[in-house]
Amino acid sequence: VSAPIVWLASYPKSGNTWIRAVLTSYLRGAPHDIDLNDLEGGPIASARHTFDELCGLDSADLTREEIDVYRPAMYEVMAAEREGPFWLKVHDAYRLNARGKPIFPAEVTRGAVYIIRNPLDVVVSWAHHRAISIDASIEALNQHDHDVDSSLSHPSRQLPQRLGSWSQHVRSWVDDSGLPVVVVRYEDMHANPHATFTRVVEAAGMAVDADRLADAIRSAAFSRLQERERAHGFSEAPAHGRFFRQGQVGSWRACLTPAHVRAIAGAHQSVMARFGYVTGGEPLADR
Amino acid sequence: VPSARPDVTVKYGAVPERLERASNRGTRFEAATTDFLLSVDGVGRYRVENGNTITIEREAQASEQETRLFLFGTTWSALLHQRGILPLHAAAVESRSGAVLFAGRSGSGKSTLLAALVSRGFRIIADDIVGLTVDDGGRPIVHPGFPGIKLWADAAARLGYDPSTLQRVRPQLQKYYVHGPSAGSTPLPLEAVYVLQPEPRPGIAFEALAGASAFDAINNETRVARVVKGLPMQVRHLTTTAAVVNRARVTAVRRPVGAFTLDELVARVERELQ
Repeated sequence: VSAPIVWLASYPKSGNTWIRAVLTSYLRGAPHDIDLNDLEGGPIASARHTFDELCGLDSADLTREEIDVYRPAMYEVMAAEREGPFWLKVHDAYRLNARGKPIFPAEVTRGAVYIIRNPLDVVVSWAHHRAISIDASIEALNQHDHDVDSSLSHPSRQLPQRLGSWSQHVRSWVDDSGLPVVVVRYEDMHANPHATFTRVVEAAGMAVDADRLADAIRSAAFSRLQERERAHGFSEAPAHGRFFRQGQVGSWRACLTPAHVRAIAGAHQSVMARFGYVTGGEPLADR
Repeated sequence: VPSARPDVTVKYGAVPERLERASNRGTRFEAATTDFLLSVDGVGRYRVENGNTITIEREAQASEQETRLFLFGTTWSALLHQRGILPLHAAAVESRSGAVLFAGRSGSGKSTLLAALVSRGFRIIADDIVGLTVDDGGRPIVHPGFPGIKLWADAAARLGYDPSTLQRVRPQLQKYYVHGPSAGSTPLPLEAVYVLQPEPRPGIAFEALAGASAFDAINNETRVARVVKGLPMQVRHLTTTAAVVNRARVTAVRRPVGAFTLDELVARVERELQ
């Protein structure tokens, strides 16, 4: 029996939830009734409550290092108890814990889908999501070894996660993990959804039913997800606004100054170039 | 009725690394109906048997505080499970007609709320783990637990405590015990449960829950529920949860994630309890 977990790995605000919505519709075959608060791939791999329940210890009584030491076994328990392939959303960078063991163990991994989005657009979306300035958002994406949810004294609903800089994050999964990784560009999810989501389903080793996938893509259209969020709320939304805000490619053009663009492109030049976000020194939102 | 023979024995001794016949497992524990094993790296192993015996094999480097922390946390919850007492993740204070619980996940603010209520004169029944049973008349009963409140340094300071004078729960954590007047050792009838639910929306909202939503809200706060999953004790817990829903007020308290709303929350709760 092949290992069951397919990691849906991404830096935040890169299209992870959109993929989860498509998968939810595709796998459950209830295309017009996507429950945002019960999406495939969730709860996220860093969900504190899941850790506490599977571990038996209260993560609020543990150090960050201890949490990381216990995390791999959490996914082993999940893998042992769930049938067949399943997707699991994760925003952590791929990394090893203090004992040198991968947080996301190869033994339970069927594969990984790494979702990448132009960091110029990520910066804008992340700023809105966290209610921070564009400058602060750029600082986060550019910061080496950047962590989120790391406040001990105010444990959030998620465990502390290392994101690293945006480039570190990409490389950690794509280059360093040694896992079978399928890279999916957010821009391709827009430009060529059928082919792109086909690769997501195939990452689980599943054959794709083209008609069913087409239905799923239609029912997970961004405007539909916005409607669902307006009508029923979304537990992952920020306190001050909507989760599904614009969902567009290239919205950075209206929001970022040339200095902003230089700050991002300067820090992430090589990874941006590698994934088609820079051409002739000029960052592009799409190919 | 006080008795000369203690209900529970806690002792140091040898604890195996694995249980031979465990039906339920988590990352750090194994359990059967009357046997439970917890392993905390760097601290020790804890075994709970027959609802009355706890054996601790402590690692050499473990501090006394942390040995106690994991004894009175997960291990104690397992003991309550074995004894047919429902362990809820909650804080409890004495009210006019019994006990009031504030249930919620880690980070939901229940300990901070408890400490704030203590500073307003409420007496503590328990922090973190509250044991519930049902009496012969079908009333839910709250059992006294450990009256020490666990607070992070900033919350303690905000409530007027000087962290440097407080005892840490673990040497590695800036988390401290704060003590207050205890409501005593007599079990009390449950009057109300407030389930603290941090939510991504502004403002504090109290919503009375009934039926299935009340049941789920309580059920979700069961401490280490996996320990009894599929075992006979799970059925008893469902009966206890049903008694809570039928005989006590269950209220969801929704408040914004991360925002500081303690004063408003305390004022609302005090009004509710008058």
